[in-house]
Formats: sequence, structure tokens, C-alpha cells
Amino acid sequence: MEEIEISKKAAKRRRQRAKRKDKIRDSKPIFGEMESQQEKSKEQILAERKAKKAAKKQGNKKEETPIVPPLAAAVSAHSLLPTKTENQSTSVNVDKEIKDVQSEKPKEAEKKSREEVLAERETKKLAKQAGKKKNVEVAKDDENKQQSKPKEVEKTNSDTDLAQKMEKLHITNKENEKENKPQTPDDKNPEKGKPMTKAERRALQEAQRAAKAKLMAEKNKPTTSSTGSSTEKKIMIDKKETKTKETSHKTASIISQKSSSLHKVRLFKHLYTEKCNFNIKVNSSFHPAILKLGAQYANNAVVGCNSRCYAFLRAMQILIKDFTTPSEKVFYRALESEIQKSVEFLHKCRPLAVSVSNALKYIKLIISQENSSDSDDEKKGRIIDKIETYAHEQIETAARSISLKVREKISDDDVILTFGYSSLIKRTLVESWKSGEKKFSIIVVDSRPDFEGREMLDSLAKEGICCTYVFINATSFVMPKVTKVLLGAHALLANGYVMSRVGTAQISMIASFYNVPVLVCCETHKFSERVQTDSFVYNEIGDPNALVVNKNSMKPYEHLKDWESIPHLTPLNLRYDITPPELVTAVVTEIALLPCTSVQVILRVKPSE
Amino acid sequence: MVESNVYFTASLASLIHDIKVGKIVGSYSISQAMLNHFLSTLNESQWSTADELMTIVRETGRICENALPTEAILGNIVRRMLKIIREEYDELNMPQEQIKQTDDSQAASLQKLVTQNSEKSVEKSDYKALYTDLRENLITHLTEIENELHLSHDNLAQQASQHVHSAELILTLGYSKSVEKFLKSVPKERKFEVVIAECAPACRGHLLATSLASSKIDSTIIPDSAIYGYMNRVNKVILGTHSVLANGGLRAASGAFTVALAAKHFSVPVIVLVPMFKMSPVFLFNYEQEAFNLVGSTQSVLPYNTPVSQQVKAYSPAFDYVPPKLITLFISSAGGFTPDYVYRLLAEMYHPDDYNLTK
Amino acid sequence: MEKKEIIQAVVVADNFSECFKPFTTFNSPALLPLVNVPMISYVLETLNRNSVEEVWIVSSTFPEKVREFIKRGIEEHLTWSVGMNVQVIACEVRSLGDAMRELDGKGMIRGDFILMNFDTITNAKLIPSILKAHKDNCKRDKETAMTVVYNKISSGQRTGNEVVIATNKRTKRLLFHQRIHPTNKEEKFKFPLEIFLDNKEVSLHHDLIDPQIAICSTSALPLFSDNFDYDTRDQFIRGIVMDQELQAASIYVEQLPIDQYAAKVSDWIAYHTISQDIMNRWVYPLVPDMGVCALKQQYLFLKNNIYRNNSVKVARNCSIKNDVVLHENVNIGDESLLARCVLGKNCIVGKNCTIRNAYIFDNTKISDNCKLENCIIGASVLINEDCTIKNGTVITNDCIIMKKEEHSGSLIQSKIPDDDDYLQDSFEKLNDKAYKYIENRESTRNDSEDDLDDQEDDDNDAEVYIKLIPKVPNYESSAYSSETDSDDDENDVGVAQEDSIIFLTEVIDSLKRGFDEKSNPDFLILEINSSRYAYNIQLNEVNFFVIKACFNLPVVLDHADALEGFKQVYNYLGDKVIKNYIKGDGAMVDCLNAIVECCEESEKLKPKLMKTLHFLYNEDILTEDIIISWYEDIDKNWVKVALNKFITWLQQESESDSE
Repeated sequence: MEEIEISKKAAKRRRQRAKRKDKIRDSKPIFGEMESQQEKSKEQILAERKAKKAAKKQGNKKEETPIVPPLAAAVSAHSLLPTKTENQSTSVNVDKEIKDVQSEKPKEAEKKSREEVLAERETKKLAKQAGKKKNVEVAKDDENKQQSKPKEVEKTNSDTDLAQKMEKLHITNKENEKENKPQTPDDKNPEKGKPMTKAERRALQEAQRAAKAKLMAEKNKPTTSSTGSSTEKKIMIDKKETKTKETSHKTASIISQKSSSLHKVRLFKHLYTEKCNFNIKVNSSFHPAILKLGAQYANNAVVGCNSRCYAFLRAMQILIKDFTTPSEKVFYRALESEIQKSVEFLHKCRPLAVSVSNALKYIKLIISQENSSDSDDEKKGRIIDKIETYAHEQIETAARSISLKVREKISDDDVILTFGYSSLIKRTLVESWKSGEKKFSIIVVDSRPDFEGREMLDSLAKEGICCTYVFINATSFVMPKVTKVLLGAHALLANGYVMSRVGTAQISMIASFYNVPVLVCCETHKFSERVQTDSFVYNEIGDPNALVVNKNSMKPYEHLKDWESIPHLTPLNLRYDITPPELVTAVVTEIALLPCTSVQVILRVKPSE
Repeated sequence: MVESNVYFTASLASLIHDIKVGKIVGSYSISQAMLNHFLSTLNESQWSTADELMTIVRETGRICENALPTEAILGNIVRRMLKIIREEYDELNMPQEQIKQTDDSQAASLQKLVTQNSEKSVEKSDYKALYTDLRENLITHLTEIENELHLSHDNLAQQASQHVHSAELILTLGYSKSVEKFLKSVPKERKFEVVIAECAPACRGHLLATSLASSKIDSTIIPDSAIYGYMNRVNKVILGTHSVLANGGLRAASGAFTVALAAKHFSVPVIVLVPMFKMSPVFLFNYEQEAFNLVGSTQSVLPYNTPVSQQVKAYSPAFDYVPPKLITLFISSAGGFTPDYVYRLLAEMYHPDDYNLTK
Repeated sequence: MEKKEIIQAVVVADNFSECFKPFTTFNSPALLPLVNVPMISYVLETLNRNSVEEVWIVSSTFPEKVREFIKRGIEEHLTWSVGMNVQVIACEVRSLGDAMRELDGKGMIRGDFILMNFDTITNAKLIPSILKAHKDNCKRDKETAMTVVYNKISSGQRTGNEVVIATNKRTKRLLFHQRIHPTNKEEKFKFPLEIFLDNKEVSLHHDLIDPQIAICSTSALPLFSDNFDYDTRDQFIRGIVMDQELQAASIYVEQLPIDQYAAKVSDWIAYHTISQDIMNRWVYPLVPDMGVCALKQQYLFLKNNIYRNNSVKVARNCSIKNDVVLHENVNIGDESLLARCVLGKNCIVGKNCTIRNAYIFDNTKISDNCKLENCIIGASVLINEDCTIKNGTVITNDCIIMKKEEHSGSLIQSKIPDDDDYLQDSFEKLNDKAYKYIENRESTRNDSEDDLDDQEDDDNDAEVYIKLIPKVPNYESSAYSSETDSDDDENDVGVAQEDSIIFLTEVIDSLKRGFDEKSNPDFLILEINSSRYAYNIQLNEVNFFVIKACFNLPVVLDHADALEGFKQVYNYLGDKVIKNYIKGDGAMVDCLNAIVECCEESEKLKPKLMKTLHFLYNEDILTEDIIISWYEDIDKNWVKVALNKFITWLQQESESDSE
């Protein structure tokens, strides 16, 4: 919208400019002494970035508003969306910022520039989830209320020549500084109940300006060519910009944490990861198979250790098949680096499962062995075959032998409790039921939010096994009848801890309270030499919104519906937890029934290492 | 169906009905309603001697327990009622021993406990004597109890500052009015975090979480499956409960057992908030004892139109039994005490003869 | 909830069907115990939980028993008696329609009301959400007659309650309604094209079942009274939906949220499934241990859905598997096995019995070594030693089964009912307390067998069980047999002519009656019209059929000279009825075609064709140019021949006129 308004306001602005000029004059003396050299430079950077912005804006105003008003509108709306969230997300670090403001005044300006960067970062992130944001209007008009002044300032830039802009912008920043100096006292005031302190509002303004800046930056490519404003200036501006960029890079890490600490549990800060968006990745150099796999991982289309491992191996085979050694490169080096690259991408999509990383290790191993002199195709053929056999032995055969081992352990009229869905467990139970010598019943324990147990329940009940289904908090209700607990595992850690779907630990805990034997089924390719003693260090965090929907009535829980708008409320959706060895009676591997503690032994004899 | 029973009045019926249909929910409002009912009984119904009144009350209690076995509170109120009738009667009955009576009841001395039986055998009052001002005394006493009930939550909450220190990570389960008040009345300057297990399928944990968050307490909601995973960082578990059994065990929302056990496993203290009227002199013999556990709707666990819904059994039990050894401390309106001490409090609150209403 | 206006409900305590015979010959179906509670109390409970304040129970069969039950209930403070005022209206009605008319006559309904059947088992929360929806509908559209409540199909099983409907996506207005027939699976549905022309968005549902819940406006009752052919809910709905503009009424559809349960006990199969659902707590809070409508806990809930009263005595070494309800003072002997069964008060089961999928009412005694599977056994029955009763045998109250008897899929009742629809010889006397009803039933609903089969995990003879369940005409048929035929056949054969045939017969009947009793022709017209709406007959068809009917009247057929006969008819019906229909050119053409068809059918009439036309022409029913033009494009030779003279004559006429 603004873009359109601008033209109308042009005249009005000229008048205001005059006013502002003399306002600035009397503002100057107040500031004079405070400004130290280094912040001057900062000012410079800011100023120029503003200038650039302005230039862009001009460009936009030239072609976009007349030709495609809808787009313009969209753009403006886009720029608005984040602001809604802004006032939450910034609110947190505002206080901190304020402190600095009064403590070391001189640093202020720099702080501000960081603030800018931060905000810019923020908006970039938030723009993605902007879709969710409701009541844009609200955000919009309170924005209009609050930042009318600075906006106008900005707009003035758009239709005055660059030189003027420079100093004026220079001044604008000063104004902002002046603004926030008197603010600091009433920011310190205790009552936090007030929805938006001035400081926050300023943060908001900053954010919005930043948001605009961001937008323009995006506009940059299309518009530059046609921008009327002189290009050589542009170049130097770009130079400057890069400078700011790298400063931003410095600060980014800290900031992004500070700013988005909202709705993140302190204990798990280290686990929150940016969801990588694919529109960037698609045009990248990755092999399509990898991209596909990545997407599958990220959207939980492929879940469960084994299937993930499978998918990975397949993808790798395709990758290798299509791989051609670039000139003047050694085959296996090139291939390895190629794989490395794509694996990193996959890791971004979703942290690699232990099984996958083991498989990766193996692949690397066999590749590194392929340094013989025969042609690439032969090598590739060999590698692919080896991968094939790996998949077959490590997953297929292992599963078979495990299911046989477990079948021996199942006795008549057993009541077997299992948790969630595990391909291995399902297979085992179904096979031993089909074999027909044993009659047993099954209790499937399940938990929100994913209800993986439903799949298990269906597939077992279809076989005619008599099943009982309870939620995990009712485990103690059924446990007294249970004779065996059969659990799947995500990984088996070197210190004998079992890493598995969250909830596994407490089931085995209750089981051991009732003295029910707990068997964990785990193929050796899931063994990992990582050691870990709690579920915090290494874990994954699922989508918190999954907790909000009630899968039975397909409605969201009314209390949690708008958790994002409640600052102190945080749903946490952990993926894994780890079970200490003392709660596990035995681990069933394709090699043997073992106590958890003898994982190291296996690890030593594992072929893949 | 229901044996026609002179004590089964329409008013009582409507009370039970309202509780059953869910017009009256929450132990607090239920006990409130029950007290009011008794108040009206005192005034309206036909009784001359304490004995008659007691029979009325006892019958009422029996009917209630028949109708709503899960609402232990009703029984407790009834017992309490009987107790005060006895007291008032005794007071009137033996004015000369009034002094002794009182100081006994105040300083409920061990000696009294011991001598109680003998005492009874000596002079077992038949409560037959007529006292004109018994009614008034009872009414006043009843109102006192009502006030006590009103204050029970606040009294609990006042003790919050003694139990929560700053920078704590507290885990709780589901929703409990007392827990809510308790946590909210922790002095503001003490910053602490709360982790709430949502307690599926009802997920009333969400309610607690939102209300805490709205009063600026950092609260995290976790699915019930993450209790163990979280526990080793938690440094206090605070639970509400549905009722406390005579052995100091709990009948609490399902999942409470898991919480308590996990807490034990990481030796985290488990604190249970229990307003006095939740203590019931009932023992749990086995898990399938008469309506110990109320099993809810299957729909809430498994949708009816799942392909296999006809072949599988699905349960959603409402309660868990938490054995006393997993509980570190009870906090009642009177103060803190350990599970071992419950029997003592019971002895003070109720008369041993009234423990079993349905005899 | 909303205190301002009290919520009323009407419960029809009759399903006007045979489906619970022979129980229904001795007692009202509403009092048939379902999991040891008279069926109607489920509805009452539900209504009460929905904070309904006034309930009228319309009962025709054994109303006194129903009234008695209600009276006792109120004395005993049953749940529904609290805060809900229940009254029984006894009236001789043979259909839901009659019941509604009765109510309309009594004029006790003041506002919107909930209409349910006694056999609807649900835990739906109608208040406030659905009631509100209804009120909104009324606001939007004054003509809202009814908001019907459907819910998603649960199992693959066909119960005869499934419907296919088309609604306007936005307004949820019902545009098309058809009941899916239980037996034939592969179906194609014919949706009238107008639906899609008139509405922007139409949503078709084929996954709904009709649990017979509806919220009616006050306007619903008059509608019933005006069209006295609306007997069942379906006829009502169809009637309204087929021509809204004519009825000036509309029906809306609401769906229950998927986490709410609703089903209809339409026959013994449904009885079985729903009992299981209740025991499996799908209908929570209407579950035994919550005490359906009793303010008293009667059962303990144990694992595997075993509900047992405290007073139950179970011998130590007898095994109670799953889904068992044992009421007060049930006594089970050694070595007995119980699974998926319900035992009423004071039942006694001897040693070494096997009871599976059986429903046994109060005070029944089962002696040692009996084997009961898939059967329903009434109250105070005595079954002596070593009997085997299976495959959907139904034994009514007070029967006595002698030793070593074996019954499979038979209906046994203690005395021969006096009402005459049972012929004496259709009973085989086993002893003076047991008469076996002989009936060669064709096995129905073969598909539902399988469906039920796979839900019975432990027994394989479920299939037989179904087959021998007494064949029950669907309830919507029961009141109105001809209606069903159409309803059932419309799936495979085209609906139109099927309906039309019935329509024709109807018209003939009414005309005949009218002619014989010389009753007021206006009524005849009304009758014809209403049946027309019932079968959705186009106007031109009506004309056609009316004429056809006239010629097919016995008077005409029996009369030596058909034309003379027709004249008689005409003298009476002519200027009123026939003129009423045969006006306008199209109508005349219809008329002509009709006559031709009649002639083709009856040789007696054939030669008289010309005379007939001439007669009608003189009567100014037909005009010459119509006849002529019709004659032009007719392609039946004999007609051409027969009418040749007539036509030429006519032409001359017209020419002479024109000159």
C-alpha cells in the first residue's frame, strides 16, 4: 500500500522536510559530544544502506506501482506480516538492549546497527512462517500509528537526490537515537504488564524498516537494471553493504538465539534448527535423488531407522551410478567429496539417523578401497553391489534372524506389550503369530502426538491377534498383566544406553517396577559408538504444532490453539529418549541375545569399522 | 434398579444427578454442594435426636457412595459431618468434661488415641438424648467447615514460598486447581520454570499451562511420553490428586504413577498438594477394587471408525494408584506431613466408626 | 443451558416393524432390554444429558406398560426423571406419520423439538451446537422444517440405515436422499440433474448412517398432517426434498462430530453389534458401570470389559472371557464358559455351560451342559439340561425348553398370540409353554453376514446366525409395504417406472374407492396429488395415469361395453377429476396416448377407440386440432386405421368451421 500512497504524499513531504531540517538543527547540539569516531563510521554504513534502499524504492516506484499494483500490494502486505510477530520476538532482547543503552552510551549506535541486522534476520525468518499469522490488519494499523514518522522520513528519501538523502538519513538515525535516549528511564519501570514499552515499539520500527530493507534487497536483482539512480554510486554502496553483511554474520549467531529464545525451551536451545527451505536448494548442484530424499526426511515422509537407512542406501546407489569423475580428479576422492556434500545437505534436512551414519561410514570405507586402476564403471558397479549386499545383510537378514530369536522367547498365552511402531517388532510378532505354535495377545501402547501405534495396532489386529490399545499414561493400568515387553530401538549407544522413541524409557521403567522382562530388538547396524547419559545432549525436536491437534476429533485443543501468541507457553515435542541399561533385560541382535553393556564388544567385531 | 429408600430424597437425587451428568465438576464445588445439601437437611428434614440425624446422614452417604463411587469426597464430607455431630453431641452431653474434651480435641494427644477404644467401651453414648440447641450448634459448626473449605486452597497456596526456590524446574501433571494456585502464589521475584505433562487424552495439562503462562510463569508442555526423558533435569515434582487413601497412597490422574516412579528413579522429591477434605479412610486392596479406577470413553483413545475398532480393546483409565513409598511429602492446608502420618490425620478428622459407611 | 425457552423432545416408542418379533407381540419394543436396561432409557438418558426439559413418548403398542415403566422410573429417581418431565401419549398409530399428526392435533409442541426413536443409541451432544445450527437455518430460511442429524459410517457393515444424500455445500440443505439397501452392494445412484443446475456447490455423501435423530421446527407437524401419505421419516424427507417449492419446506443436514456415537437398533443384528459397542464403551457415558439412567452403581468394570454386580456368584473354575455383563444375583456354575454375553437379574447358569454371543434377560434358568450361541433368550425362561440353542434362535419370555432339545434359528414363544396375523398352523407345539414359529425364511443380507463374521473373532457360525435372524422388512417399509418395494428396487431398476406402477395402482384404488363410495371428488384429487408427490411423478405422467386408471377401473373392465362403463365413470369423475387434469394441449396428448395404451391392453376397448375419442371430443376434453396433430405424428398402424374415419370427419368439421 505505502508504495502507492507515496506518490500522493510526495507534496506533503516536501513541506515536512523543511520542518524537519530545523528540528534537526536543535537536535544536533544535544548529540554532538556523544558521538565518537567509530560510531560515525557505523552511521556511514547505515546511511549508505538507507541510500541504497531509497534508490531501490525509487526503482520500484518507477515501474512496479503503476504496472502491477497487486504485486506491490502483496509486497507491502508481505512486509507487514512479520511485524505482528516482531513485537513479541524482539520484546525479549529489548530489555537487554536497553541496559546497554544506558550503560555504555557510546556503543549505542553500533548496538543499533546490530539491532538492525538482528531485525533483518528476524524478519527473514519470520517471513517464512508469516503465512500462519492472523490479524494482519491489527499489526498493520498499529504499525501505521507507531512508525508513521520514520516511515515518512524513509519515503522522503525516495524522491530526493542521493546527496541530500545521505545527510538526511544520517540525521534520521540521530533522531532515532535521540528518540530512545529519553525513553530509557521509562523502560526501566517495573510493571511489565504493559503490552508494548516504547523501547519495544522502537524495536518494532527498526524491524519494519529492516523488513523494508530486506524486501528491497530482494527486489534488488530485477530492479537494478532499470533503476534510474546513478550506478557507480550503487557499486560503492554494494561494497559497503557487503561490509555490513559480514558484521551481521558475526552477530547473527548470537542474535538469532537471543531474539528467538521465545517458545524455545532453555534446556534444548542447542537442538532447535532452522528448517531449510527447498526453493533455494532446488537449483543447487545436488543430485535429484538426494534432494528427494532430503525432502522425504524433512517432511517425515520417510521415518523409522530402517526405512531411512534403506532410502539412504538407494539414493546413494543412484548417486554413484550417475556419478562421473570430473577431469583431473581421482575417482574415489571426487566421489567421496560429492557424497560428503550431499550428506551435509541431508543432515540439514534432518539429523542423520545412527543407522544412516553407519551406512555412510561403510560406503566411505568401500569407496576408499576403490583405488585400483580399472575403469570407473567397474568400480561403481562393485560399490553398488556392495551397498546392495550391505542393505540385504544388515537390515533384511538381520531382521529375519532377530525375529527367529524372539520367537523362541515367546511362550504360550504371553501378554506382550509393545510401544509405538517399529517395523522390526511388527515383523517379529506377525511372523511368530503366523508360525502358529504360540497363542499370545498384545498390548500396544501409544502416545501423542504421532500415534504411530495405530499403524502397529492395525497391522496386528488384521492378522487376528487379539490386541489391546492404551495411551502411555495408562501403562501402569495394563502392566500387571504383561509378561514381556518388546521394544524397538533407534540406536544402541556404546555405553549400553538404548536410544529410542520418546516414551520407551518410561515404559521399561514401569516394566522393571513390575518385574517384567524388557527385550529391546536392535540390529547391529544401529550400534553407535556415541556415548550419552541423558536425553538432552543429542535429540531431535519435532514440530510443536503437532501437539496442538487432537487426532481423534481432528480439532485443535482449545487451550493450545493460539499458543504462539502466549509468550510464556512452549509446547515441546521431543523425538527420542534414552533408556539406561539397568532397565533393559536384554538386547536381541542378529548375533545373539546380549546385555546392553556388551555393545562395545559388538562394535569391535563389526565389519563396517 | 434403585431400591426405594426413604432417605433417597428428590433433592439428593438432583444433587447426585448434577454431579453425575457433570453439571457440578471439580472436587471443590462438589464438596461445596454436598455441604449445602447437609445444611438444608439440618434445617428441613425431620429429626429430633442426634442419632436420627446421624442415620439420615449415614444413609445419604451410603446412597452417594452407591451412586458415585469414584467421588470419594462425598464420603469424606459425610464422615466429617458425622464427626461433628458426635462432637457437638458430646459437648452437650457431658458439659462437666467439656474442658477435657476440648483440650483433647485440640492437643489431640497420643494418649487419647491409645485410650480411645477403652473410652468408648466405658461410656458409649447412644446419641439418643434430646438437645434443643444441637441444631444451632451444628449449623454454626457446619458453616465453620464451609469457611475452612473456602480457605483450603488459599492456605495451601500460602505455603508456596516455603517450597519453591528460584530457578527451579518443576514438573507437574494434568490440571489441578490447588497446583495452579500454589504455583501462581510463588513470589514473583523467584523465577522458575514449570514443565507440564499434558495427561492425554483429556489433555487438561494445556489448561494449566495456559493459565500459568498468562501469569508470566514459563511453562513447557510435554506429551506424557517425555516425562522420563525430562525428569533428570527436574528438581521438584508437584502433583495434585483426586484423593488420598488411608495408607497414604494416591488416587491421582493416570500418568501420576509414571511421574512418581520416574521421580523416584532420579530421586527427585515428589510433593503432593492435598486439601484436607481429600483424605479418605479407604484402603486399596487391589487395582480392580470397587470402582477404584474409572475407565473413560473408548472414543477418546481410538476413533470408532478405525478399521479394526471392532476387534481390539482400548481403555482410557482415569486414575492411577501411586503407592505411598513414591511420595516424599504431602502439603495440606494445615501444613506438610509424610505418608506415614496420614492415618493420624484421618483419626483426627473422622470418627473410626464412620470409616466404613457401607456396612 | 438456555433457560429462556425450554427444550422439548418427542420420542416415538415404536418402530412399526416386525423386527423384534416375537417379543413385540407381548410387549412394547421400547421396553426390550438392551444390556439389561429397557431400550428407551438410553434415549431418555441422552435427552436428559442434553438438558431437555419436556419429553413426550408416543406409544401405540402396549402404551400402558410404557406408562407404567415411566411412572416407576420417576418414583425411583432414575436419572432422566431429574429435571426432565416425561409424559406418555397413548394413541393407536400405525406409523410415525400418524404419531406426528396425533401430536399436531394435541398441539403441545410449542417450539423446535428433538425427534428421536426409542431405538436410537447415542451419546451425541445435540445441545447447543446442533440445535444452534438448526436455529440458524430457521433464521436464514423460514421454511426450515427439520434438521436431520447423520453421522459417519463406522464399520463396513450394512444395517439398512445407511443413506446417500446430496446437500448444498454451503447451506447444508438436503437436496437428495436415498437409503442404501442392506443387501445389494454394487449400486449406481441417479441424482436428478436439477440439483447440480440449481446449486453452485453440491456435496454428495455416501458414508452416512441415519440414526433417526432430527430437530424439527413447529412447521414440521402441519406438514405431516397436510400430507397424510407421509408415514415414515423417509417418506417425509423424500416428499419434502422432491418438490420443495410445492411444499414450501426445506430440510437441512447436520453431521455429528466423529468422536460421538450414534446408531439405531434396527434389528437383532444391530442389537448384537450395539450391545457390543456399549460394552466396549464406545457409547460412553452410556455404559453399564456408569449406571445407565440409574443413580446407583450396579456393576464393577473389570479388564476385558467384564461388568459384574457385587452380588454375582461365579464358581471358581469357570472362565469368563470378555465382554460379559452379569447383573444382580447371577449365579454361574463350575466349568462354564461365558464370552460376549449379557445376563439379566437372577439368572442362573448351571455347570459346564457354554454361552457365546447370547443375550439372556432376567430370571432365566439355564441348566447344566447347555450350549447357547448367538441367541436371544427372554425373561424367566427355563432351559433344561443338555440343550443346544444357536444360530439366532429367539426365545420369548416364560418359555420352557425340555431336555436335550436342539434349536437352531427358530422363533419360540410361550403361547400363541391371539392376534390373527399369526395363523395357528404356523406354529409347532413343543410343549404347552413353547410354540415354535415355522416360517420358510429366505436368507437375507448375505453381505452383512461376512461383515459381522469378521468382527466376531472367536466364533465361526456367526454367518449362520445372521442368515436365520428373522427376516425383517426395513422399518421404513414396514408401515408401507409398497413403498419399500420401490425403495429397494430403485437401486437396480430405474426408479421412475417402478414408482409409476405403484402410483397407477394407487390412483386406481383411490378412484375405485371414490367411485364406489361416491365420495367427494376433491378428496380424490388431493389423494392423487399426494401420492404423486410421494412417488415423484411428473405432471404429464399424472395425466397419463389418471386416464389410464379411469379405463382400468373394474366398472369399465367388467362392463360389457367398455365405453358405456367409462361413460358411467366419466359422469361421476369427469368434470371434476378428469377435467382437473386434462387441461392444456400437452395434457390432451397424454390423455390420447393413455387411451391408446389402454386399448392396446384390453381387446374389449380396442374397437371402441374411435368412439371413445369421439365421446371425449364431445365432452370437450379433447379439441379437434390436438387430436389431428396428434394423429399426424402417431406411428401405430392400427390406430391410424381405426381413427381414419374419425379424423377425416374432424378435418371436415374444422374446414366447415373455418368457412
